[in-house]
Amino acid sequence: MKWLTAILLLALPLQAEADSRSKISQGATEWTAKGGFAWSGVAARYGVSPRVATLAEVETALFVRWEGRAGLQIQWLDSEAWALDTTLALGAVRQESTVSRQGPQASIVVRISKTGNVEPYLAIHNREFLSMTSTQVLSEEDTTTRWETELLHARGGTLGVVFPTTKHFMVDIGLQMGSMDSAFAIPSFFTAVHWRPSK
Amino acid sequence: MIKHMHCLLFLGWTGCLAPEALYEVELSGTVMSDQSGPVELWFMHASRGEGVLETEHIIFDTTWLDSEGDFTYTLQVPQAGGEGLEIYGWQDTNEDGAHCRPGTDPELSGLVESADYPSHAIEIELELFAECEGPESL
Repeated sequence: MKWLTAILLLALPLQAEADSRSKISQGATEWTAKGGFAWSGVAARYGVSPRVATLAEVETALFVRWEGRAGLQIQWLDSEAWALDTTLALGAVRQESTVSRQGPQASIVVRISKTGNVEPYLAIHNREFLSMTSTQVLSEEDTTTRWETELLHARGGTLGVVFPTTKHFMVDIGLQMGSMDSAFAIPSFFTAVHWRPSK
Repeated sequence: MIKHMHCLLFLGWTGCLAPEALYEVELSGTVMSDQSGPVELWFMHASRGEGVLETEHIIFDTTWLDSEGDFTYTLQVPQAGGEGLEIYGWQDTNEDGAHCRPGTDPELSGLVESADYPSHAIEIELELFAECEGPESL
């Protein structure tokens, strides 16, 4: 915890860009790299209007399961005290392991944060994944292929905190809990770096 | 660049995983037993994995027969699940649904490995001779 305290203390005097940590202003870009257990990934956001940003993200769980999505982040509230936004995204899942999965996924994330230089937040997510599996039956006469679908969900939340380290960089530390593929999943933690280059 | 990144993201997701391949086998044969009663058949791969991770008797399907004697069954064998084809059977003589429940009379079991697999038509003879044995003991 000592290093975390040191980073926080170093970060406190700094002031990042005028936007809150979750909001990104029109024409601005944010790049994110995230590492942790079990999820790592990269993401990009681009502010298309004062309240709307586009989002593209690729995540992987231990390089076995991959999730990619693109969507919109809508900022509902960005006051001096609170920020509230919703991210809607569509994407795909691909997992190659003993249990292989693939298919499209729809995602909604609602995030509320206490605005300030150091910004704690709670993000609630619901991801609906249409798992599509194909089976090939090799009989004596012919080969037939059948498809089966199954709707699986990932629901849970992330508790985290974002704070600036320099003018253009912010660090995001979080703990994520919830389900995966409609089953209990062990909590995951991550550290992310957000980079907002000047417009 | 960001605007185009959304499109690029999905180019990597257009491929499909290879389907799970099932090898269909028309299985026929005879279950021989000195007792009478329903027989449960377990269809198994003989082994899976290599070295210290090698595991034997991987069950991928089961079925019940009304009694010993002749039978036919259409089996779909997962191609990625392991090697070989074994058939284990046990006879539910007292029809309690359990194999050799404590306090009940011994029930017979047997195991046979098909030498003909892979083939779409396989004939076997399964003799139930051992009392209260699982496949790992036969």
